Formats: sequence, structure tokens, C-alpha cells
Amino acid sequence: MTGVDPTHRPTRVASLLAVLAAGGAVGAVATLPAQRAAILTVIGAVIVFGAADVLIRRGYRPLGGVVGLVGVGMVVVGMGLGFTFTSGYTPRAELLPGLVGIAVLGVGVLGPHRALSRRLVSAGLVLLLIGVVLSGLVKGADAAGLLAAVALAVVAWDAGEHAISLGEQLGREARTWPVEAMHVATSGLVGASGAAGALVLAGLVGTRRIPLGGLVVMLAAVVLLLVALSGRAGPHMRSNRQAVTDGGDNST
Amino acid sequence: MSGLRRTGRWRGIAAVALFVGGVGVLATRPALLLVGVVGTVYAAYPGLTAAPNPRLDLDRELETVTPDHGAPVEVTVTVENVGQQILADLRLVDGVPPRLTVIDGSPRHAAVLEPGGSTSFTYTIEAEYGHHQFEPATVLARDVAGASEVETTVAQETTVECEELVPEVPLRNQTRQLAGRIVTDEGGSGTEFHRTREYRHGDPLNRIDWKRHARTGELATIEFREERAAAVVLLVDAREAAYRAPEGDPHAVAHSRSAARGLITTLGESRDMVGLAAIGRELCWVPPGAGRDHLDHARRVLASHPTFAASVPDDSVGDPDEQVAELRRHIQRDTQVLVLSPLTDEFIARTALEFEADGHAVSVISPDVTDAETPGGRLALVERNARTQTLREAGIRVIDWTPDSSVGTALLDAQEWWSA
Repeated sequence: MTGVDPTHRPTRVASLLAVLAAGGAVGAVATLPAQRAAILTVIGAVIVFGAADVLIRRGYRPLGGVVGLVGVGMVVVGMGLGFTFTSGYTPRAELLPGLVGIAVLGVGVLGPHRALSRRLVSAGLVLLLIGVVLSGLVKGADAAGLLAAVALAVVAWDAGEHAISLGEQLGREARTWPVEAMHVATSGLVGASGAAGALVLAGLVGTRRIPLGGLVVMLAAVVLLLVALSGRAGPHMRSNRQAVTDGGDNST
Repeated sequence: MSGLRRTGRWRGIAAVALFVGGVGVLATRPALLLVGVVGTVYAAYPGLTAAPNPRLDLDRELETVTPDHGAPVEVTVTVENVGQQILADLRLVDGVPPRLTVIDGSPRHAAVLEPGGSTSFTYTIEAEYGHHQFEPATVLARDVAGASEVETTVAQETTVECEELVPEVPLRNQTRQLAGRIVTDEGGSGTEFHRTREYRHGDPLNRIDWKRHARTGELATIEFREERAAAVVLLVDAREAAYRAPEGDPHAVAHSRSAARGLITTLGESRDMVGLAAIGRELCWVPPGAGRDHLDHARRVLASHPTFAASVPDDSVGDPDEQVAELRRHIQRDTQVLVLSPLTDEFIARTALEFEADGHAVSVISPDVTDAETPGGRLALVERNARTQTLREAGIRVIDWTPDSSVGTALLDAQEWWSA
């Protein structure tokens, strides 16, 4: 009764950023031209899914269904590209889970169903991370690529979840882009500073030969400290973003 | 007022960090261990953001606060951050009055607000008959990581008044000695022919039936039906029992109030004397009168008197028996009483009967707010019908009004019924 019933679907800007970040996450570990082509094809498939969704919601059901099938076909083609034009285990292992991840996350931020959206976006993150871990295991990408990939994967999930939450509360008609941009930019910045910190740490390990065991203990200590900190985070802790970036810079 | 909630949306990320780092350690892949560092930073990120503490000022501007029925009204809402904190993820849902529909734009908005910054948004509502009050806007403020969320409201009193056009108020034949619109059965001056009678000394020349004089040589006087004005007191039932409504709809007092507004205007135009009374929290009493100033005064009282407040009063506040007793002393003879009540209990029916017994012509306009969906609602409906029947048997006119339609339509229907 109150007002226009808002279309409770994920907001556009953050959704788009989520899909792009997911593409970037896969692209950071999969750098061969054929792999890149495969990624672009799958991103294109997500856009086609979006078009199909618009058509179906406007009442062009059969046409939308056909366009949706074209999208599915594009995902298959993308995966085929990644599979046939690469040789060996490494490029396939780091690419294929990520490709499925982009498609799943993309469908999630289109918001087919309220309860399903969040799960699809989370599943997308898990698939992207599986790609990153496999890449690390098979020594496909270098450390910088892996760091960028994981940061972008988390940004993709964060943006997707933010789009869903904004969509639920405000709907697509409301002007929400400044909030979306702010949110995604900040989590991107956090990822970048985390990755920079990790690289600095890697430099320390490499040059001064800190034993790996020592690094593990240090990481465990950092995790414990952060858990302790997050337990008492309250309104008295101000200027949050500053704290994170400072933390990254201080480790030099 | 405001509730802080942890969203917990980052909870899974710590597991991701530990998993990736763990794989790195087990498979002796330092690169993956480094990936675990990024995961850890993300796990820590929500813990490092401050919970938002929104302090906002809301300003709501309407194109017009007295629109015509069905007219679009543009609403512009401006929200200012008057706190010291950057609000990175501020979500607003304006409190559109329940009976009004948004036809363009969205009453929902999101913004990033630095201290002192403001944001505004515009949407269009369609005006409906009645008196509408905006509800406080709901505010959801999240920190930039989305880790904690504060829900609060920010209010500004805004009302939309869409005057109901009541074409004509059917009054009963109790009148005062003033020229007006109620056609009586008494002869005198007027417009409608009543009878001719024998000439009496002093009858005005222009009323003498000259044709008959020419024909027969007798003098006769033509009488017309006298048209007189009535004095009417609108009595709004605003007791606790009248604040009834089906789930989600406005209550009967809101309906009675908007109907009373329309009735004041219409009765004022037809030169009847209008008074206003209400029982509830306290007795509200505006003696019958005429003229623009008087009508304005009555409308102002209707808009601002605490008895008409939108919130439901305490059961213990106000003694209706005493208020009715006082009202009976106030209301003069020859004054009609028009009761606006949902007839939800015996008290108001008894009161109407008492006024009728006092010699006032009583009519009842009763907004039907019973809810036929629930068993309790159906019982209330049966009881209300019984009360209506009792009143009608006592000669009181009861106009059953379904508030979905305008009160004017209900009055016209009722009038057709009576004159048929």
C-alpha cells in the first residue's frame, strides 16, 4: 500500500562492478590471450543474461528465453575456448572454476530470486577462490597475480552482496550509486593495501630470509590480534579506513 | 529509538583467509600464504570500522499542502548530516502517508554524507481525500564495510490536506427562524408555491393573487414554502473506542475528521449555522455560528485540537459521560446534531438517542471500519448493524459510509434513499 512497490532487486552499479571485479579476479591469474578471450566471453554472457532478464520482465517471455539460451551458449563457448586453446593442466585449472564463478555471481546479482541471490554470489566467491588456490598450487600465477586475484574476488563478492542488500532495502528506483561506489572503492582500497602489505612481507621473507615457520607464527599472531580488536570495535574507534591503510604502510 | 545491529556479513571471510593460508602452509606454497594475508586483512576490515551514529535533520517540502483530489504532489526531502561523522552508507525510506500512493520517483534514497553535507530527493504522490500525515522517515546507516547497521527514524511534521467536496448535507427538518435552504411545511416567503389563503390585513401587495382578484373580486394571498436555515453541531466521536481500523488502514477518527472538514465547508456555504464538538481526550466545543471567520476557526480547531490527535488515547483519559452531560447543556434547542462515529460501542448509540430525546434532530454518519476478514471483525459488524437498526427505529438517520468512497457519495446515496 505504501508507495510504489520497489523492485527489490540488486542495484545496478554495484552489480556491474561485482561482475567486472570477478572478471578481473580470474584475469589476474589467467593471463594467456585465449584465457582472456574466454573471460570476456563469459562476462559477455552475463550481460546477455541481463538482457534476457529485462526481456522476460517486460513480458517478452519466449524472446527472453531464447536470449537466455544464447547466454548459456556463450558460457559454454567461453569455457570451450579456455579448454581447447590452452594446453596442459595449469591454465585450465586456474581458469575454469573462475569462469563458472563469474557466471554464477553474475546470475546472482541479476537477482532471480531473493533468497537465491546471496547464495549464488557466495558460491561465485567460492568458485573464484578455488581458481586462485588451484593456480597457487600448480604454480600458475606469480604472487602479485594471486594477491590481486583474491582481493578482486572478495571485492566482487562484497559488491554483489552490497547490491543485494541495497536492492532489498531501497530497490532499483532509488538513487543509490554514490553509496555503491563508496562501498566498492573502500573495499578495493582495503584489498589493495592488504596486497601491498603482503608483497612487502614477501620482500622481507625473500631478502632477509625470515623462515616460513616464523611467517606462519607471525600471521597467526596477526589474526589473533585482529580477532581481539574486532571484538571490541565500537563507536569510539574512528577514522577506520585510515587505520587500515596506516597498518599496511607501517610494515615497511 | 535507534538499534545497532551487527550484520556479520564478513564472517565467512575469516574462514576463507584461514583456508587459503592453510593450503599454502600444507602445500608449502608461500604465495598462497601471502594470499592468506589479504584474506586476514579483509577479515579484520569490518572490525576496524566505527559503528555509525547518524544525527540527521530532515526537511520535507511539498509543492502544495492543499492539493485537489487526484492531483500529483511533488515531495522534496532534504536530509542533512548534523553529526561529526561521515555517513558512508546512509539509506532513507520516507514515511509516505499510508493512504497515499507514490506515482513517480522513489521515496527511497541512499547517500554518502560528510559532516554538514546534505542530500535531497524528489518523488510524486497522488492526493487522496482527507487529512494525511507523513510518518517519520526510516534511516538505516551502515559503516563503510557494512559490518554494523543502525536503524533509526528522523521526523518532520508534514501534513497534506485534500479537502473533500461534500455536495450537500442532508439535514432533518428542524430549523431556526432564519432564511436558509431547508424547505419547510410552513407558508411564508420563499420560492416554491405552498397555498393561497384569505387576505389578511397587512399582507404585502406583491403576494396578493391579483389574477384571482380580477376574476372573482376576492382578495387572496399566495404563500410560498418557507426556507429556513438549520443550526447543526457536528459531534465527532474520538473516544478510544472509535480509534478502530482494519490492519494497516487509517482509523475511524481520521475518517470522521476528514468528513467533518468537508461538512463544515458545505454547511457554511449553504448558510446553515455550524458548530463542532468532539468527545474523547477532552471535550471540544465550538458553538454553532456562521460566517467565514467562524468557519475558519472551526477548521483550525479541527486541525489542531488534541482530541482529534492521530494517536490512540489512553482508555483512562477523559470521562465521556461528563463530556456528554456538558455538551447537552451547551447545545441549544432547535439544533441538529450530526454524529460522526464508527458506532463501535453502546455508549455512542445511547448518546445519540439521548440527544434525540432532548428534542434535537439527530443524524449519524458512520464510517464502516469493521474488518469482515476476521471473526472478531464479523462480530463487530453484527453488533454495529444492530446499533444502526436501534437508532433507525428511534427515527435517527444513520448514513453508513464505506470510507473507500468519499463521504459526499454516501450522503447523496442516503438522500436519494430518503427522498425516494
